[in-house]
Amino acid sequence: MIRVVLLISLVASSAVAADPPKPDKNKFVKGPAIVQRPPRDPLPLVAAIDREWLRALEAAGVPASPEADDAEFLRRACLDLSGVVPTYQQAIAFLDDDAPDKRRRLIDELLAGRGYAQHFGRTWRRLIWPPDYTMAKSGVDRVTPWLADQFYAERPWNELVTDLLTVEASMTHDPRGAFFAANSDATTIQPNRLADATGRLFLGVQIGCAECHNHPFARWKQEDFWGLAACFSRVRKVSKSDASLTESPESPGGGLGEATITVADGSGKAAGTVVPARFLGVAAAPRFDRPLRPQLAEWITSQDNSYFARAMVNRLWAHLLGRGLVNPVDDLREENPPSHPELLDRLAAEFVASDFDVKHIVRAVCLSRAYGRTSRPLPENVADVNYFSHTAVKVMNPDVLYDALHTVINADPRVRPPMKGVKPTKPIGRGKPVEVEPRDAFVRFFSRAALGDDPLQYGYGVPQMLQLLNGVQWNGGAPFLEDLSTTPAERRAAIETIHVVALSRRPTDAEVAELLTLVGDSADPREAYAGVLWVLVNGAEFVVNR
Amino acid sequence: MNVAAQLKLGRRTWLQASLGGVLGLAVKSSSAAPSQPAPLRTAKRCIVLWMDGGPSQLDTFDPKPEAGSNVRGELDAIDTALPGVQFCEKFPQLARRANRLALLRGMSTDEADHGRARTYMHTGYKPGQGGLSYPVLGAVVSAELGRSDAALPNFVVTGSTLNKYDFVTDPGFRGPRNGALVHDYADRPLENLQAAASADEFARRAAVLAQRNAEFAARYHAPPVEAQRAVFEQSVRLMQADAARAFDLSHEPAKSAAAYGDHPFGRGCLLARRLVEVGVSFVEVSLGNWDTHEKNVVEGALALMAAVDAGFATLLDDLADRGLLDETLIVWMGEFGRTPTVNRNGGRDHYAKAWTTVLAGGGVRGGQVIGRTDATGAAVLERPTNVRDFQATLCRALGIDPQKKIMTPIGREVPIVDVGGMPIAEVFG
Repeated sequence: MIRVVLLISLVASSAVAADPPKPDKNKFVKGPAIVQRPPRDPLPLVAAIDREWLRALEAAGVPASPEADDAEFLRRACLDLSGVVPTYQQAIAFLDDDAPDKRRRLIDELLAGRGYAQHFGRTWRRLIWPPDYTMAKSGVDRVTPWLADQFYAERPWNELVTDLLTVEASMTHDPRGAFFAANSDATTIQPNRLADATGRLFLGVQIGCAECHNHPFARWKQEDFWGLAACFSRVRKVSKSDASLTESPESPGGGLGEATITVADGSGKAAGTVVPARFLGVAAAPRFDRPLRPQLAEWITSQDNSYFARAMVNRLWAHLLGRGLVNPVDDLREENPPSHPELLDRLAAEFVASDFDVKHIVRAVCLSRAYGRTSRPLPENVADVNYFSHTAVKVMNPDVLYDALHTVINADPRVRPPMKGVKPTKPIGRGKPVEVEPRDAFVRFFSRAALGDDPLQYGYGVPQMLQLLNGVQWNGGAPFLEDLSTTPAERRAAIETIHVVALSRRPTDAEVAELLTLVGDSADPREAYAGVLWVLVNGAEFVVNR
Repeated sequence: MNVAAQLKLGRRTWLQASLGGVLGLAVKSSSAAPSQPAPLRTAKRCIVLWMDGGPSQLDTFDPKPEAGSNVRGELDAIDTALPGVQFCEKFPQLARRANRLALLRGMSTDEADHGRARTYMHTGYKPGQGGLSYPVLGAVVSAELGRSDAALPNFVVTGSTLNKYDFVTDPGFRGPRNGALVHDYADRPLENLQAAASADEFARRAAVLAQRNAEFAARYHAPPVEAQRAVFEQSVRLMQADAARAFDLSHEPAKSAAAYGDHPFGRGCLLARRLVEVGVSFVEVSLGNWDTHEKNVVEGALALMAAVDAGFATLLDDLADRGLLDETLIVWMGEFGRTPTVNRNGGRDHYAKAWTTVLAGGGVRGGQVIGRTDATGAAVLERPTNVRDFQATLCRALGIDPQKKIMTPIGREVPIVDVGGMPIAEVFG
């Protein structure tokens, strides 16, 4: 197994750490290529997933929907793994491929690509640093490319999380500082917000409720929350002008004594009490004579920590299936049991055994029968949400919708479909900062209205719909329409092409007939083609991942 | 109706036909008769002035000028049009209009976390209660008083909140057709109302789209598909509506606009008036940040107070001048109050035990104070009001039966206001 994984952006950022931080968005340090390791054999895990999935369905007496058809599977896999809709070429190549292993090959190709890294990087950027927070003032996003690099290089999840928790580089200029930057204000590190985010993101527990009160039934008490917060209480910025992070004692000149935190005013009964640093549910104190963050990171990412692996595999399952094995995905606790306990255990054990290999878990889930169902319900399973009898219909998030619209507008069906998958056109990552406009403007406008991050809710409102229906951004014409034949004999083929570009599937005869009415005896068939594209892009089918 | 037939119809005819038929709208009589006799005088629509973050009752409508400086705070109290009733000095215009206001000084709720309290105050149910997602008040009003075929949305939200809007906009089990139109900046016209294609061409395309959506929805019984259809239909209706001009404040004479104050909140109040004038059932104008834990936020809130004084007072006058105040319920509220004692950072923390909300307009008898707090504002001494009673009061003012049961998607009937909620009779006396 190849274990030489060189991270160009790490090289770049350690250089930054040595020099005074100097943001330069044009600087692009090119490093050696990243070598991906050959995939682990996913099939034993696939079999285990299907066994547990089927067992739960049978026990509940709920029938599974049939397997998804090729078009459904292709679009779903592309959206889930790369966050982009298939190109015309990808769609035709996949639909016309007769090989029995084409779904396996599709998953492997998608996971090996930059698109996967980009999509998972964006997804985690949103989680770590939600779009409500204003991004770096320099107008570039360094966090998403860095995260993308980690996913591309197959960085083990425990290492990535350790980086985020123990970062010593600049909070404002180094992408690894994102987690701290998102949970700080302009002048101070906020230990309570860091504790809350650590719980939700990396441990899958909502200890934030224990900030202000002891919940009568929940395991976590106020001292648990504030004990975790105290683990961040010594973190400081080096100076006003240097946002590098260091751990230093409360009082200048004092040694590294016991790290404590005073429970904030307004935080219920415990307000004003002094709580020493503790890891969640661990009675023993950490060693106070050395930095706490590395000890915390070691405890969080330990193979023995029952929350760490479960939290991530549950999130990955939810990302792919629309719903976690535990819901909400960050609420792992005894009183909120998983829908498939053995399956969650098995995925977590496999995640640990694979050295926290994210791709390995994703690959196995994507190859399972559970993932491969159609999302069309049967009358007998239409009410089921717990057993994954049919897959969920998810809504594109603003980032994905933005890319999907661009893919369609910039489609070029004249290029012959290659036999293998198409390389993504404009990859991000490789340490290169990405310009945040105009994508961020779109994402901000569409995030405003989105219902949290629940992929099962269509959260876009009337103003967002009006931009899609009428905005000049999306209605300025798609160049490929100019190349389509307007002769009456070839209009049907033109409609089929537009349909494949927009929806990655060939239309039925009835659909063609319906869309042809828009062309009719139009004096300007190209204008009518634009109308066909408008209808397809603004329909419900386009914006969902089914 | 098939597409070819639609093409032969004129635009107006097509729209009328399509809005009822092709777009799949259920045009039904808007509100069922309440099971109890409705109050004689009720509002037909509602404007909520949402104070995001939780304003201090002591620094707004329940000042304690006699208390020690650590309770009193730095602002003085002033007399109002009501003998013996004082407001904070930052509300001179509202003080002169106190005879139009009903102050609920006995608010006593039990959620002091922003997220939970915001949802509680908007829905009347605690988050997660009974495993359901409850509709916010705007969605209830939209469903009960709005018209499902109205050209403008029945429920509009404007202004900015500290976080995402879900707690203001989520229609819960009332479904996406009662969701809010969120128009962040009142001073900008609603964009993209004009179709790129000609009206006839747009109508043809929209009809095909609606037909395809209906077919897709029939194959995939999925909530997001239904929601997308609802938003599409709402958008198309809005594009066709002359009344959409109400969103454009540039049509307002400069003089009447100026009285609302040069602040986003004032412009939000003006937009609210313009919208209720053209029949929108519910408008929520959001103003933050009232989360005054620290000195700098306290100082920032001074500007919010001035904005509220100008915006709220002018809204009262303007609606009264137009004969709309008796038909419009106005609610001023946040998610909770603040601690009576000023903390060591020069601010006040969350406090749900004793705080104040204000009602005015349709159905409400102005010029009264309901509820009384003790000398430091720490406890309610008379007429405590919980969230259920508060919600029931708003419903009654709007002629909505709070006990009416609504069927939820999980097949369980749920009353509009949780069991036990009783309207505050004094409000209407």
